[in-house]
Amino acid sequence: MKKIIYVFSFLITGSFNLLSQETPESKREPGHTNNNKFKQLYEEFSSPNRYRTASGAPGSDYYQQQVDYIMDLELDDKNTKLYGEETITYTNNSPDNLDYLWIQLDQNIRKKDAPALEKNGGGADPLIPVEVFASKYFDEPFDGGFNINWVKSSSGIPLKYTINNTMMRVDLPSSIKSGESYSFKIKWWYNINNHVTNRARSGYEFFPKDGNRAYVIAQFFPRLAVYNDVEGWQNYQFWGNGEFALNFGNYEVNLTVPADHIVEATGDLKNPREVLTNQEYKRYKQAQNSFDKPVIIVTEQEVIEKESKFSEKKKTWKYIANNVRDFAFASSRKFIWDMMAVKVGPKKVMAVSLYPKEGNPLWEEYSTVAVAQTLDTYSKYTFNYPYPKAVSVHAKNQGMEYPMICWNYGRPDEDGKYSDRVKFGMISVIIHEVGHNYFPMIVNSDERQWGWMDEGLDTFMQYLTEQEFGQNYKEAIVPLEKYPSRRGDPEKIVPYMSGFQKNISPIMSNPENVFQLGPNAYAKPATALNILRETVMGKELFDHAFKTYSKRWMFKHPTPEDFFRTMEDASAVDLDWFWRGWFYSTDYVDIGVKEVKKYRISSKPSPEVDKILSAYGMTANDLAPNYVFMSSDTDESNSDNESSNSINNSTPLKKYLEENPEDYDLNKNSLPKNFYEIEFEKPGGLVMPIIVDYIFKDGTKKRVEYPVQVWRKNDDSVKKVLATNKELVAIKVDPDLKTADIDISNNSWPKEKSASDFEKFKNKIKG
Amino acid sequence: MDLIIFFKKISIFFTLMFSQLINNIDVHDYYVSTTEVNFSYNNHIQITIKVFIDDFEEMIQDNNNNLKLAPDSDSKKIDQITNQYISEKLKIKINNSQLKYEFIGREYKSDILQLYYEAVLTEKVQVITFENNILYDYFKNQQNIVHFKNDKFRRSFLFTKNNSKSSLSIN
Repeated sequence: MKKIIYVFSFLITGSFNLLSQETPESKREPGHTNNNKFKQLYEEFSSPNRYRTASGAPGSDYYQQQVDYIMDLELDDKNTKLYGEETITYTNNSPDNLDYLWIQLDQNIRKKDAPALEKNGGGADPLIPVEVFASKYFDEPFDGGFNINWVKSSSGIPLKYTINNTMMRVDLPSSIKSGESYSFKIKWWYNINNHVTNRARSGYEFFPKDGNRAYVIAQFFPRLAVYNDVEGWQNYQFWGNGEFALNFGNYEVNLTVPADHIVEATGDLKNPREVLTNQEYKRYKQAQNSFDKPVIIVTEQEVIEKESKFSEKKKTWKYIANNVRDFAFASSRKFIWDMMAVKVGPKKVMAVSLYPKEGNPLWEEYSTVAVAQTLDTYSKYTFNYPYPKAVSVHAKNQGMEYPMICWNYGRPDEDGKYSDRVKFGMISVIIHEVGHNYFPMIVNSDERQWGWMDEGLDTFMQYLTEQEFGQNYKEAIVPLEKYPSRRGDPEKIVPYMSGFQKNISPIMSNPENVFQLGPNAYAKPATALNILRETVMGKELFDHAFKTYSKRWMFKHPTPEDFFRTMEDASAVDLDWFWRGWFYSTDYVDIGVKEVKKYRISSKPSPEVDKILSAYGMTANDLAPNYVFMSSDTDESNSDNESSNSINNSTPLKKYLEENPEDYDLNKNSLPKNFYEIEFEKPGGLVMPIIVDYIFKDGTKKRVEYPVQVWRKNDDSVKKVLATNKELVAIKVDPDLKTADIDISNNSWPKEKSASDFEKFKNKIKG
Repeated sequence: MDLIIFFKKISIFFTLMFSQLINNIDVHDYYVSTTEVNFSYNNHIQITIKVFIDDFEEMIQDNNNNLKLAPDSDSKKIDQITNQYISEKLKIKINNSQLKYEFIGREYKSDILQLYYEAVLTEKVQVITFENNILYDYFKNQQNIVHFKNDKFRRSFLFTKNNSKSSLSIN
């Protein structure tokens, strides 16, 4: 009897290894290390510590530096120069004493000899448009970059500094001890670039018709680099793609511009009475209580009158911003200005738009409402927006974010007409850039190292917001039923993930070194999170974990691991396999049906069973009479009557059921009689839950979701049995296209051939 | 030849089309087109070209500044410029003769323009040669992908400005 149980255990595990090992092998297989897809990420993650815990929360010794700025700025519109003098107060909350400070000089990426200009390869152009050729080979490079007048201590003593490309080291007379603060001053100026012709995140657009410029100014002042427990000094140079790593602090900024300019900036405007006309001020006050629609503070007509005047006078706009990681501003006499009040939790926030008349009629209609929708949706999924306002500024070709303010594209034609493409592009970019207030302006990840941490999370939230915008502003999307989001739906990432491997990088790559930042740092992580939410974790568990992460790291500096750990910590869902596959590799999802076999309960052992038994010198008669035999439909030796209830084929089974009448009703028709063995194949490297629709002859359908863990012990294929009293006629894997399966030609049984776009189109025009 | 990659398993959805518009990036636009060339039934060749509307509009407006795509300002003129351009830039040679393909139509799918062409084979194919120069004259970093498929196998090619031609032997 012992022996029989022994043999039987092989049958249960379906493993015939022991049998095959009876014949000696010519060569012993080499060993291997743990390369299981479900292996925990101990090797990829750094050890948790007192700064950052294993749960993904800030630890008991977590610290971050505080950097406060007082700045006097002057914009010289005539000569397109910006002048500044700033006092920086650096508070060292780290346990370390600092001998020097690193300061970011981002404008230096536009120095004539900046290495960033030569960072890319690329040969001669055999064919090249004339203006591109002229600017490439004949133009003098733009004379940009910071001119540092001086760096001084607060008492006026010059400090020694060394500039290395976009980073400046200031050597301190004595080290800043842990817990101490240090103040010093920098005076600087630079030539402002045209951001349209010389594509950049910041600069001016020139309007030849009226001779005006609209400025959107950012990365414009020497800013402290981040010092923390992960990087030490984050002084990785600014090469153009990897964005910013910045400290929180308080800002007091006095900004002097031509008197007829309208300005928006990070922070609260402290002197509206001084810089606005009486009428503007009246409307400005009125807007503070307008919750139903925006109030126009400066109208298009007023702007048109101003455009030709070019005031020689100056005005100083004064701003105070607390707990922000940066400061940016927009200034022009061309700006139309509208705003409305939005209720966010218990607080009032101003949703604001600033645009030249070239943006109308689109901007007047949609910008401020898109800002309001963003504050509403993001606050629901993360935390209540903590700042007093969110501003959307229209700048050609721009899509760039700063605390409380961002630049956005989307411009109608000169006759005021615009396509749906332009409209949805504009609404989407506003949602995206305003949404960046949450990631990374408040949940302050290191963009220089990890582009996806803000872009991916923001693009994911953008998708949710766009869908809510579509529900709330139905007239804006007519005749569509849902907002046409470009990113987020799983099937939209398929072309990228199935692309040439040599052109794809894992998400966990530095933004400078990836091939296409758009799909890599925006679309793929956003889609991954969407799949996590809708398919892997479920909305409730995901939303709670995502909110936990947002709240834990609000006004702090998280790393990828803090995100990964928190999502598991708050949900009890092991996700190491998901992070490993989607974030650390370029693997893709491809799961399909390989084979389907129908089994019935049979009176005799199948040849397969006979074979195993005979290998042990046994026959079926040696088995105890308490086993059920099953044989495949294709098994010719099966002589059982096919029409009979197959339970009757097995005497031991029938007897067992009869002996346990309280558990089983033998006469009930619902007991399964058909047993389908389905083999799922997985040509793709990513493991995923298997979502299957089983479709039966009577027209009914059964949805089954096998947990991702089915792939633990066999990464290539897995068999499952469907026990049913119905007849199976078809199987569909991932029927709703929820997993970004890159090849759905193997998703159906029996195989279905889907018509190509070409064939569909040809049929359409024929019909 | 290193750009020719053989895929054991390539999906019919193997189209390398990405969102080209990158928010927040200094100079980082991504330009790509894909062309699927399928030998189908009855010696027909189906050609589907997918290109970003914005990119293609640059070319159209370079020829005629008043034209706009999606919605089209003048479909006939756009068809005409499109066909002229594609016939110059996408050359397919069967053995030693240039393949003449016929315009079937075009349609928009989200931010992508899909162009359809068809041709009839008149001889047994031994060698097929692709030369794809679509939009190199507008975007220096343009990449063009060609997926070839007949009933026996599939093959994909990645073309760039400096590597725009490739041949395939079919036996």
